[in-house]
Amino acid sequence: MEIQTQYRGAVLVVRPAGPLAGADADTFKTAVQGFVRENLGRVVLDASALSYVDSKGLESLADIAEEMALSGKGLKLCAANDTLRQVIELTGLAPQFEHFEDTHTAVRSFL
Amino acid sequence: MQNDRPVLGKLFAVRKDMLRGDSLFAVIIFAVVALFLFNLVASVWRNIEFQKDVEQKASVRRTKAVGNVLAKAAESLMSANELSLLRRTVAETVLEYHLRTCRIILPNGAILADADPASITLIELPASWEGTVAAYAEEFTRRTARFSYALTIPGRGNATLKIAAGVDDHLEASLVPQTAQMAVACLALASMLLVHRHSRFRLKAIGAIHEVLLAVQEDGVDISNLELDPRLGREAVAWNKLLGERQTTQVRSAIQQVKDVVHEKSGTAESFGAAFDAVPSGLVLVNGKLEIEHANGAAAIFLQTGRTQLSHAPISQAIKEPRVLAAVREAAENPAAKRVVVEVEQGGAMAAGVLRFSVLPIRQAETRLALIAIDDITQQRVAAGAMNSFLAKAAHELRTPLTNIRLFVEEALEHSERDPVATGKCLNVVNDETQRLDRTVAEILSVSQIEAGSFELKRDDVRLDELLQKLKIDHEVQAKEKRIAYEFDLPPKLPVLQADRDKIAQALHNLVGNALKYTLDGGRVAVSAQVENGRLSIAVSDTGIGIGPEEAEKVFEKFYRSQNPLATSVKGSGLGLPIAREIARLHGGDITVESELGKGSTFTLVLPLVEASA
Repeated sequence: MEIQTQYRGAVLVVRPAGPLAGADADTFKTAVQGFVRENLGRVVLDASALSYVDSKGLESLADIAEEMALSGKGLKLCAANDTLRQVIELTGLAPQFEHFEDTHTAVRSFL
Repeated sequence: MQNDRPVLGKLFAVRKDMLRGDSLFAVIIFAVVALFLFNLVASVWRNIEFQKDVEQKASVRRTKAVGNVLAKAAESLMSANELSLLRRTVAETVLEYHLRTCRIILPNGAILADADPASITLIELPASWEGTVAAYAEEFTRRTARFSYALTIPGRGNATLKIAAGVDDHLEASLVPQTAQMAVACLALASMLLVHRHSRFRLKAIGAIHEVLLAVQEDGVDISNLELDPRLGREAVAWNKLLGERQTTQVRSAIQQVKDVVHEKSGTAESFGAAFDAVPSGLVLVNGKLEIEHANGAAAIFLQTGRTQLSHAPISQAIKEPRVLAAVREAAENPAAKRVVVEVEQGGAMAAGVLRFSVLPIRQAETRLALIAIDDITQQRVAAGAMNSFLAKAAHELRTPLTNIRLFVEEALEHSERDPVATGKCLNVVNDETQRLDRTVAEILSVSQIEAGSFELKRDDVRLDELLQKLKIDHEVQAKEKRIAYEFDLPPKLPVLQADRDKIAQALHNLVGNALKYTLDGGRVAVSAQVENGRLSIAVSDTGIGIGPEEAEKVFEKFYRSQNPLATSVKGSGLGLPIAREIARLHGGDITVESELGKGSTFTLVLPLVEASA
């Protein structure tokens, strides 16, 4: 899995590309948690290129969101496809995420 | 109200009164019984003394009578010289009447008869003897009665009969019942004394317990003061044990209550902590000692440390900014301190940004606290900076064509009558500048929409082959003017995109327009497209002036113009590439550049493929 990053102003947009599954999930979680700490939580997760998320990947997303919740922040998730949204809803993880249609809206939410 | 008390109540009251006077009651009872027993002992004693006196007198009389009879018998037997009979009679009399001594003595002292045969000194009675004897005599001691009788034996002489008898030999046996009775009475008296002493000792504890129980009825009695002296006995020890258990129960109950309260408070504290953590702003509560009382998760992230490190740490350890520390000190020490806001720029590669520290004093009755609220205003700062820069650059971009328009209009007016050709040239310039101004305004509008968040996408099915075909046609004239080889290398079949057609077209026009602008005459501009890994890539390559690596990303900044002298001669607003990239990103894609100074550039628009609805 490839993780692309892009600064939009002071906000870091993290764009994982490919399936978020298996061992990649741990790598992804470690990387994003590092981005969150380095950027004081100014991170947007662009899910537009996530082709597939398995239980391990979902767990990594939940862990990141839970850690951010401890600092009063939600994980800003944008451009998630319908499947991912439904999975997040069904697993009860939806309240831990902030959903945005696109990265621009997500980035603007930091203003 | 007393009359209304039931019978049982009255009885209880009487009993209570009796119990309350138990010491006097017991003393009276004891005194009566003791008097009775003493009287009994005295009566028995007096009876014994009386009986003793009677018995002694009777014994004396009896012994005296025995002596008289024995004296007559002795005179007769001695006269008849019947010594054996005399001696047997003496011995039997002694045995019969329990005499201690009984002997017949001649005047010369010779013992003619005795109860003890060994004592006889005269075996045969002489025919006659001389001498006189004393008359009858009697002598009494405390325990013995002695009698002496004078015997006259006609024709022979005189002799003396002496007998002695114990006056109380029979008395002791007759006084055994009385003595036993008196002993029993004395024993009873002694027992009663012991019982009284023991009972009095035991009653002390019971009486004390009783007094304590009565005291408990009163309000405001401290139970801990009701303990009894253990020396009062087992009852006192048992009472103290009961009190101890009660106190233990009370202590346990109090502990439980405290635990409940603490638990309740800890629950409140947990809720408070959870609420603290739910706040996106960093919150740090500082006490009067300038130590951190509480810090939420956001504060830990902003201060780039762990929550455990923040807990009860000196505030100067967590925050180094002197202005913030001074404000915290002022807020913690001065109740009249005002809210202080300090914005601090964080340096370094890690967590660069701008934090706003708001220090507020919290006034309570006795404690002084300071609350530090930390907000990350980096994005606001970036946005504000970008907006200021944008406005400045937009004003500059608008002023340039406007200045040209004003100058050439003035020149046209000046030459309008004398030189129609010059006037025409001026008007052409005005026309070009007006168009440039129109494009600039349109681009500024796009950028402002992007900044305002109103740059919305209207997604629809976009046929790429048609879009690229139109792109080719639109720029063919411009390419011909500069004799640029304008080529399209497209696959035979291109997908249908779900995108905003106009904005994708705008982005591609900006890329191709730039390529043609910055490519010198006779150069080459090529457009190619390919689909790979679910992504569409459209590359616009040119053989233009190229971009140095230090400017590769800067060209995407708003109003940025390359420092290359060849580029500054080309008119442009510096907004085309930023808008194109923003459009790509709004579609989930991006625009990247690969360039080499003097050789040319390749800008690649990458878009994720979203299946068309039709």
